[in-house]
Parts: sequence; C-alpha cells; structure tokens
Amino acid sequence: MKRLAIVLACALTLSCFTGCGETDAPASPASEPAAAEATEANGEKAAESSGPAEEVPEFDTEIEKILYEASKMSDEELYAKAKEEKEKTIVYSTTSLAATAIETFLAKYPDLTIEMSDIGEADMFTKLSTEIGSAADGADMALLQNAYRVNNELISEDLLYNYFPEALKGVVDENYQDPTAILFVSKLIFMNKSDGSTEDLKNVWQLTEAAYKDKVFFKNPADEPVGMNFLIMLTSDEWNKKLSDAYKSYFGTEWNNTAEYKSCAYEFLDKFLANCNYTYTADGGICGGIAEGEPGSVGLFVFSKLRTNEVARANLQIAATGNNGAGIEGFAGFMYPTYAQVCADTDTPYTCALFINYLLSEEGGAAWNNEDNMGTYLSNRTIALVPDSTGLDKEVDFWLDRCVIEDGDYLAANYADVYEYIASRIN
Amino acid sequence: MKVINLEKIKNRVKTYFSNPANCMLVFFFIAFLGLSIYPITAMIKEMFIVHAGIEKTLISAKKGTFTLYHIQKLFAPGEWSVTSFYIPFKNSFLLGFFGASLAIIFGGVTAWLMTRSNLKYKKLIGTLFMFPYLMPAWTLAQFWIYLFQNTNVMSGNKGIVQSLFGLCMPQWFVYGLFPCVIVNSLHFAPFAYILIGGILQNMDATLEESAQILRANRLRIVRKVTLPIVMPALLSTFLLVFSSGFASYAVPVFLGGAVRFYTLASKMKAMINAGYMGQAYIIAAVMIICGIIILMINQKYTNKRRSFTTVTGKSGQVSLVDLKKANRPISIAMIILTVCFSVVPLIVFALQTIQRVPGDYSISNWTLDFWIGKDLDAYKMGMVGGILVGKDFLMALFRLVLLSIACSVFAGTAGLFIGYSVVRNRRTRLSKMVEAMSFFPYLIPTIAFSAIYLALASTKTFSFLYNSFLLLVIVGGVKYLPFASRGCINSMLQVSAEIEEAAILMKVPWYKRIFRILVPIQKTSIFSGYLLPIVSAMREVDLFALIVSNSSYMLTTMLLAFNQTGYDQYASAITLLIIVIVLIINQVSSKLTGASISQSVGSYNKQ
Amino acid sequence: MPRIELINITKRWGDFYGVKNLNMVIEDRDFVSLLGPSGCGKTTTLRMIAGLETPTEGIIKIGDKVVFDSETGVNLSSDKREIGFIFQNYALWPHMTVYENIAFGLESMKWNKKDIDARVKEMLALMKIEEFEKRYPSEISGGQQQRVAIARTLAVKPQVLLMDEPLSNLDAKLRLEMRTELKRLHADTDSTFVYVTHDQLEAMTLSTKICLMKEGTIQQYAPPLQVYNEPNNLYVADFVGNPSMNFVEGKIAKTGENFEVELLGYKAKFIPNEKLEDIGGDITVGFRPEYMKIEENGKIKASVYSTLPSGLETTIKLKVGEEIISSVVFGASDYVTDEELGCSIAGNNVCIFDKDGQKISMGQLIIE
Repeated sequence: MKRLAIVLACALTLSCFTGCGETDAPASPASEPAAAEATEANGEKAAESSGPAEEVPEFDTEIEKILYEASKMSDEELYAKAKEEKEKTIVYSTTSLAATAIETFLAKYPDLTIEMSDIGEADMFTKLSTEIGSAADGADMALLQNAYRVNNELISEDLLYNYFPEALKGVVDENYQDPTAILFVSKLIFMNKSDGSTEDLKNVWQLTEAAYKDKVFFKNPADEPVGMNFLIMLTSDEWNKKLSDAYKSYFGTEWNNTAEYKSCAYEFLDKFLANCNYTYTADGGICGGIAEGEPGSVGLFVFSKLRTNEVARANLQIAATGNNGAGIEGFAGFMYPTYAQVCADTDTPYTCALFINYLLSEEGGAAWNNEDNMGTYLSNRTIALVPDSTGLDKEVDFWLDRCVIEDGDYLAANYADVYEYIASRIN
Repeated sequence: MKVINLEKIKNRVKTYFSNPANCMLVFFFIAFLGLSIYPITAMIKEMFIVHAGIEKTLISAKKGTFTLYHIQKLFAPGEWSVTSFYIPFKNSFLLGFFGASLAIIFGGVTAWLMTRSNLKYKKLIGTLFMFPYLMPAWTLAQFWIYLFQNTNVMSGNKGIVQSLFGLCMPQWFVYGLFPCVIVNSLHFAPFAYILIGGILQNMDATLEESAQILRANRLRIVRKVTLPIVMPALLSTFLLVFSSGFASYAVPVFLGGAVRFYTLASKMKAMINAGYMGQAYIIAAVMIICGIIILMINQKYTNKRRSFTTVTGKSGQVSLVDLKKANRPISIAMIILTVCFSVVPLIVFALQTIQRVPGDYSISNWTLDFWIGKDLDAYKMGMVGGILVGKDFLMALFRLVLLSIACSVFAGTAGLFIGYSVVRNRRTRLSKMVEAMSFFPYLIPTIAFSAIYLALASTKTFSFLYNSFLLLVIVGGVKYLPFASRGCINSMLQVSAEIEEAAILMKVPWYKRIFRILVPIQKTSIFSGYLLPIVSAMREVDLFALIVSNSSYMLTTMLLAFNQTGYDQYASAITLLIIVIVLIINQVSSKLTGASISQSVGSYNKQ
Repeated sequence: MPRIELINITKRWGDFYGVKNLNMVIEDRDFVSLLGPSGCGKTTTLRMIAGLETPTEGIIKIGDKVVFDSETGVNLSSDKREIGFIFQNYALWPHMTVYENIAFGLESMKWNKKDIDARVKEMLALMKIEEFEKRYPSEISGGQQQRVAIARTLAVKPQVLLMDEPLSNLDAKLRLEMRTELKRLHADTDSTFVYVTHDQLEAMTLSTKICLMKEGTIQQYAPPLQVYNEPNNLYVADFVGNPSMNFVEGKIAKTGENFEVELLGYKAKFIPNEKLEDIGGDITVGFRPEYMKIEENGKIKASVYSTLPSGLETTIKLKVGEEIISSVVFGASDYVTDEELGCSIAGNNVCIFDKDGQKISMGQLIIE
C-alpha cells in the first residue's frame, strides 16, 4: 500500500523538474501560484507563487490548476473565491448522509449554493462518464465508491480531478490522499450464535469447509463491486500472507498447494466462493436472514445494519471480537472508502474544494461520525470516533488491522486477471 | 422517348403532402428512422470499441480503440462464453418458452371458463385475475420467496408456508428456473386471458355450434375448431409473453440470484457492473435480434392464407357449457387461486410495512412508524420519517404520477396520430414500415435503452434535456409507444373510412376530423391506449433509474434505492402504494370512461 | 319418421319472453318457414329445436324421441338430435379447406376414410363445387360458401334440416337461384325442412307451411296461400304480400241481412262469406292491391299519385280522399300523374278487422 505514496512522490518530484514556473516569491494568503502556461494565465490573477521552496507543477487544464492552488488556501480564502462562483454546485453522492453535511455546510457558508443528487452506485459511473466533458450540465463533484472504477474509468480518463488540502497532509494516511477518501465503511463477518452453543469462528479457513456450504451469506460480488474488489484484494501480497498464516494455524501445515493454485489466496477464493449463498440481494436481508436463521450461519454485511435490528444484536456475534476477544484469524471483514472527487468540467472548483475541506473536518464528518451511526470511519485520523449508541463499534485502527481495504493500484494492476477467476466461480 | 415531367412530379408530391395523413406518416417514418438508427449505430459502436475500466487493461489499448475482442471473448468456445452467454441464453429461452406456455394455459383455461362455461362468481374472478398483471412482476417474485423460503433451502429462513404448514419446498421449487417460470406466467396469464378471452368472445359461436350439430363431442370441438381458430391470437400472445420472459430481468434477479441463475438481461447488468461494456452491448444486440425474429414470426402467422376474417359476428347467442357438478369446486378453486396471487400478496406487503424488525410477524413487533412515524432510525439516516409524513416522499409520489400521465399523453397522442396515418394509408409500403418500426423501442433491453438516451441527452444538440423531466417523458413515451400505437391502429381500423370521408366533403379540417369525429367514436378504446403506458410507467423501475437527476426524484427510483440499502419496510410500503394506485387508476377509469387495462390489452392484438 | 312436435314451449330470459307457450307440429317432409320480423322468436325457436338453446319450459319431440322435456329434465345435446343446421353466416371453419369442412361431420361419426371421400365427392358434385375442394372458405364467394355450408350439412344425411336465414347474405340474383335449389333439394332429400326467414316472399315461395310469429307467439300457422288469402289478423295480413294489403279505417253497421260499411267517404254493402254475428262500430277494412280494380265506371273516384311499373306488373298508388291506396295490374301500363280515375274493390277476399286487429270476417264489398 505504500506503493501509492511512492508513485505520488515520484510524480511530484518529476513535476518539479518539468514545471516551468520559476517564481518563488513568498506566499500571501490571497495570492495564486503563477500560471504554468501563458495561455492559461488569467491576467487578473497572475501573481506570485505560494511557497518559497516549492516548484509549481504543470497543469493540462485550468481546473487542475485552480484545484492545486485551492489546496494551499485557507477556508476563508476559499470561501471568498467560492462566493464569486455563480453556478450552483451539484454533488452526486452514493451516500444519502451527504445531505446532512450539505445542510450544515450551508449553515456555515450561507452565500454558497450546493445541492446533492442521490445516485445509485451502478448508475454513478455511467452518468459521470457520459456527462463529464459532454454538453450536459451535470455534477460538479462526486462522492463515490469503488477504487477500481474510480481510477480506471474516471481519473485515468481525466474525467475526475483529485483535490486534497495541503493542510491535512499530515493527518490523513497518504494512501487516502489521491484519490481523496473521506470515510470508510465496513462490512464485517457475523455469525448467528442464538443457541449459545455454536463455537465462535476462529479462522476464515473454517468458512471453506463443507459444513459451511451455502451458509456464508454474501451479496453476489457480480452485483456489488466493492465486494468484488475485496475478493481481488485478498490475492495481494499482504492478504495472501495473512491468509497463508491463517492456513498454517488452521491446518497446522504451511500452504503448499502450488500445483493447483496460483497462491494461497486463490485456493481460499475457490473454496470460500463455493460456500457462498447469494439468496439475499441487500445487506438488510442478509442481516435479518442470518439473525433469524439457523445458528452457525455466517454473513458479511455492513456493520450499521446491527444498530436498527435488535434481533441481530442479540443473535449475532461479530467475528472480529469473538473467539474470546482474539477475533477471527485471517480477516474479519472488509472496508471500502468513499472518495470525494471534482468533475473535470465543474464551474465551481472553489466551492468543491471548500466542501471537500469541510467533509474532512470534524464538523463535516459529524454527518457520519455520530452516535446514530456505526461502521463508518473518517479518514481524518485526528477526529475521535464518536461512540455509537450500541457501544459495539471500535476505533478505525482496530478495523484497519483486521479488515481488507481496497487499494486502487493493486486493483488496477490485477483486477482483470482475478476478476475472471472469481467470475467463473460465481456463475 | 421519355421525358421526365417535372411538373407532374411536383404535382404528385403536392397532392401527396396535401393529405395530412401522408404528412404524418412521413413524419413518423423519419422519426422512427431516427429512433431506430440512432440506438442501433450507438450500440454497434459500443460493441466494437474499448471502454475505460477492465477492458482497457484486458485489451491493453486506449479507450475508444476499435476491437473485435468483445465478440471473440463472448462467443469463443470455453468456460467464459458458456457461463456468460450460452447458459444465460438457454435460461432466457427456457424462461420465455415455459413462462409463455404456462401463461397461455392459465390464461386460456380461465378465458374459456369465463366465456364458454357457466362458471360462478365470474365478475369476482375476472377482477382478481387481473391483479398479477397490474403488479410489477418482481413483487410476485418477492412474494414467492416470502411464501416458500424455508430452513431446508439456501436462506435458512422460514417462509409463510413453512411457518403455517411446516411444509418445506425443495430448492428447485423456491429458486431458479421453476419459480421464475411460474412467476412470469402468473404475471402474464391475465394478458393471455384478455387476448384469448377477447378472441373467444368475438369468435362466432356458430363455428362451434355447427361442429356440435355435426356430431362432434366437446373435446373434438375444442381440439378441431376452437383451438385452431384462436391459434393466431394464441401464437401472438405466446410470442409477446415469450419475448417479455426472454428479456426479463427483475424476476431472475430475485429468484435466481441464490442459485446463480442468470438470464441474458441479468447477465448483461452484471457485465456492466464489472465494466465489460462491449460484451454487455453484444448481449443487448442478441436480445434485440431475437426480438426481431419473434416479431417476424408473428407477422408471418397473422398474414396467412386461411384468413380469419370470420372471427366476428353474433356473440350474444353463445350456449354456455354446463360444468354441472364440477362447477362449485372449479369456481372455488379459481377463487382461491386468484386470491392467493392478488389479495394475499397485498396483505403480505402490508404486513411487511408494519414490522419493526423485518420478518418477525408477532404483534409486539408491529409499528406504524414506517407510515406515519416521525422519530425513526431511518430519519437519522437521511430519511424524512414515515412515508406519509415526509414532504420528499409525497413529492416523489406526485412526480411519479405526473410522469406516468405525461408519458401516456406522449405515447398515447403519438400513438393516435400513428394509428390515424397508418390506417388511412393502409396497404402502402410506408405504412407497413411505420407500423413495424413503432415496435422497435419495445425490443431494446431497458438498461441499454436508458443508457443510449442518457448519451443522446449529453450531446450538444440535446443537452437541454439532460436531467430534465422532459427527458424522462420522452424516454418513457418512446418506450411505451409500441403499446399505444398498436392499440390506436386497431381502434382506428374499426372506424370506417366513410365516416371521415363524409366530414372531408363537408370541408372539416383534419385535426377536427380526428378530435371531433374519430376520437369520440373510439374514445373508450383510445383511452385504454393511454392507460397501458400509465400503468407501465407507474411500475417501471429500471428504465428511469439512470436518467433521473436524483434517486429520490420519484417513487420508483426511491424504491430501487431502498432495495439497495435494505430498508425493507419502506420498500414494501412503496410497492404496496404503487400497486394500490395502479388498481385505483384502473378501477376509476373503468368506472368513469369504461376504459380499463383489460381493454387496452385486448385492443392490442385485434388483427 | 322425422315429425317435429313442440308442446308448450316457452323461452324466457328474466322477464323477457323470447318464445311464449308455443305449440306446433311439423309433419314429416314438410318445408316449414318460421316467418317474422327480427326479435319475434323465430331463430330462438329454431335453435331450441336444434338444441343450441334450452327452453325454459315445454316438450320437444323429434320423430318418436323426446329430445327435450322440462319436466323430466331430458335434454339431448345437438349432436344427438340427428339434425342438420345451416347458419346465417354459414359458420364455415376458416382454417379448414372446403373438403375438410364437408368431411368434418363424417369424421365425427367415425366413418372410414374411403366412405368419407366418396360422400364428400358426392356432395361436392351435388352442390357443383368440385373445383373448390382445396380452397379455404375465405377464397370462395358468398354463394359458393353457401353451397359448401349446405354440402357440409347434408353430408351426414340429416332427417331434419334446420336453416337460419341461409340466403340473407346473398345478393338478389343469387338468392333467387338458391331458392330454386333449396326447393329442389327438399324434393330430392325426403327430409323435413325448417326454415327461418324474415322475407315473406321467400317463405311464400318455398314453404309447404308458414308459421308467422310475433313477439314469441304464433300468429298463423298455415300453408302459404292460406296465409295470404285468409290472414288471421291484421298483423299477418300486413306482413305477407308485396305490395302490402290496403288498410282503410271504416265503420260497420248491420242493415237487415247484410252490413253497411263506411269507408273512404263512401258507403258500401258488405256481404260476408260466412254467417256473421251482429257487429258494429269502428273497423279496419283490408283488401289486397290486386282487388283494387281501375275501371272506367268504378264508383270510387281516385287520382293517380304515382305509378311504379316493374315490367311484369305495375303498382299504381292512388289517392282517394286523403288515403293512398295501392293497386296492381298485370303488365306494363302507364298513367299520367294526377289523372282522375274510377275504381272498385273486387272479389270476396275483403277482410274486416276489429279495433284490436283481429279478423272478424271476410266477404265482398260493393260500393254504392
């Protein structure tokens, strides 16, 4: 996962050499970095650059440049710039809670106009790739999931631009700065223990046993991309290692089935997927289903379902905290980030930047980080987790250790190969 | 020596276009050409280019490059093509075939009992039998799961049948092809019932009577006379239901997911999710081609030498078959069966909406919060409260109704003009072409259809449509146009040309002829033509999802979002509400104008 | 053999009587026409004989067999009544060829293939439609369809042939032609024909007996000429004959042996054919157009209203006072419009009807 950081660093260094902005005047709060190209220079705004030691990278487009400049501004400066933007800012979001954040955002910055459109996960990509760059007036920014498609279909095609505020570089893990992740959602392994006598899950390899045939409830990964990404991530070195360790402690021998499988993770996928049950098409169904189902049924679904379902809280055990607190070996579930990205054809880059700053702040994050919400964690690590009313949730570090989390670079390189391996096992 | 007489050509053209019916026909021909050629070229292009995402990596080429990869990959022998194409194709075919066969058996037997026997409680059975057609098909699929899921099979949860009777149905009964076939056939049985019943009712009873007088017994009459005569209607019903089953998406998603049962449409959606856009479009193309083949078979059989023009005549003198002792049992069985798939699902959906924890039927778990509650968990999750409290919800309901009406006005009015221009130019090649082309939008799979229109609206010329209500109206209107134009063509055929000619001689302008003479004469059947698009738009889920600006924009897209996030109670409440509204619309319009869904379906197929 | 007897037959739908207490005997080899306007119950009666309609009450016998009895519940279905039925629209099966249509009944009776073929060929020849054997009904003309319908019905050799307005869908010329054929057919086949029509001329020319119906009841059941010459009531008198009978309002009073009638502003002496009770008061006098004679010294003064020559005969509409009276003369004759003429009423077939339209008497009318 460090790879991303390295790539980023290289890119920055490279851009330092290629950048032709030579100005190095000290920054004044309202100033802008110098224009990279004369054609892009806006006479009115041409001024000094922001930092004495910093080289300004070259930009292909005006928006990219503005976003770069914006990343160095304070919120007040951004607000002043944003107020000059006449158009309404449209935010496409897969999470409806963004509406709450927008409400509080507008209370704080009353001169701005910003609105959310709730867009389904599947439709998000079709809509964005159709409208950005076309004549259609659609989104200005998007809150969306699925690192693989965000990277491959939108960012790499220059349809989305990343924005990350300079000020937060130290407080958000580097992995989640490009693309900027606002929050993570967790889907955990749960088991029905309503009879009290069923043994706790000790190791994910248990789930590959014949006893679990059709007893592992999971949303069909063909229909749920983040689920697919999670499965693919299992083949990464990091998780392959964790799976082989778990293999060793479960079977007592080192994994060595290279004749049949490419790696330990592939064997796991093969046998795990054979046991999966795709009866339910929504997480709520899985939660309710295993909560009222047979003892010993296992399910993978979003943590937050537990909060509204008393029966589930009573009957289900979180695999991560079971096994006398040791938790399940291998992995306890998976997490996926929600990214904030600016559309390449936005008319309101400053408002977008300010809104992303806001989402990364404690105030903005409060839309998710509150006692009525669980299983959602902010990427800004300086903000403490507000315990939810059930008291079941734990700090994000706890989960990051135990849950598989998507890595855009790994997915970009390996998605195609592993996808077809998995696809042939879920059809 | 031949001299081209320009004057003559000019005059001919002038004469041709002085007839408004001809102008309309030419207009619709051009419009349909656009409506067909644009999607076709758009789809063909998608089939041969590299898309962003997984395709870029697999083909290692830039987005937009020409490639044959998709075709090769999808059809090349091997595991991929088998699981991605051949098996889904087989499943689609089987689902279409058996679904249509059963629908015809259910619908046909009911139609026969209702028109040719002295069955009791006909009115009640007739009303209830229509319900499954008015409900979205996937609600029946959901209902099937509520009924039959059991602890022995997959889910591990008790369904109603197991809870009440302790019966555990085997897996093939609960998930996969079998329940898909049953649900599809239940959904389309009313369709078959109306079409076949209409034919039986219009069919000259003397054809059967004369067979009886010629010493034929009941069975021989049905086999040798009744069946062959209703055969063309039967066949076209079969093909229509077949093509709907073949393209069905929501039902296999609900009932097939558990056992990994894919149809072409659900496979296509999975392909899109995974980023295999090219292959998804090829599947769409295959579905369209199959649709065209089906349409052609249908056309061929309705233009046969053994013309069935005598299928009209006195119908008042049908002698009803006395079911004698079997009457009571059959009547009661029919009532139980129809109640099971009409009223019971409504009750089950109603119960779902009042359960605090889904699936727990005990009274202590009941709450009206999801209808009228103000302090709800979902409230904190961004919801507004019980669905009858929130302004958003009522707005979404209002927009859905408005959109449905707008779509039907669009489709119905265009259908009316198509009907008029086609019928007045009967037997010309252009008219036949327009009639056939009006069917094209029906053949494009819904998901592809909305994607194509989304792309169209993002072009410079049409960008004003993007995220607009008008785009929704156009998409819905065009999609339902086939129903409306078919109905209008048939109702126009029933008005003799003389009626209009009399008005022409009195110098009544064409629009007055249509709206003051033709429309009033056929008002019931034309209104029925408007009703089918309303009902279809009301229960349509997939078509609008991609093109609405916000998923809480209207009730059905909201429903989709609830289904995805798993707020079952809200989803059930919306489902129930939609069904109830559709039932109310149908009842009210049949009371007020005499037009009802049974009629609009009936007019669909009168040849 | 096939004698048909209807006893107290009633067909009721709710409060509406289709047929009311009808009694009729159709003798073997009769050609009976059920005549009347639409809605009079004639088709219903025919369908009840065929078993296509179930009477509410009564008994129907065909031959010695009771085929329907509301008391005992006997109700043979059509296929067991051994009758033939020709429908108004022929009811040919559109999906079968002419051959298959004719063969159908024989197949139902489980004849063997060879016999069926022979019989079908025979029928095709009889009806002169051999060349259409392989065609579908929609590919032949109305007259040919009609022949196929007859062939199909006769193929099974029914003893009773029931026909429901079989000629009404044909054009005038073809209809005349088919009438001849039907009458010939009746002579050839030795079966009993029951024929429904609303065309009085058809009934007159074809039948051995006419059963004239009105609102579900029999008005008169008698041989055609008797119906024509001695109608039971005004309704029958009016229905039969073309041009129809002249009806004139009048008054009658007894004067000694004879009666004195006032009509058309004239006084006349009425000599009844049979002895007549004392009567008096308002009456309707009816006389056929052929008895309205135009004579130079006729006592009735009339003017020519219009003349309608048909070649064979000429109908002259005469104006007497305010009344229009028809007169028919044989051959073509022409009169000038408004020409003044003298007329008299000849013959002893003048009918006297009471106010309710019932016939009181027939006799001779001498204008004074």
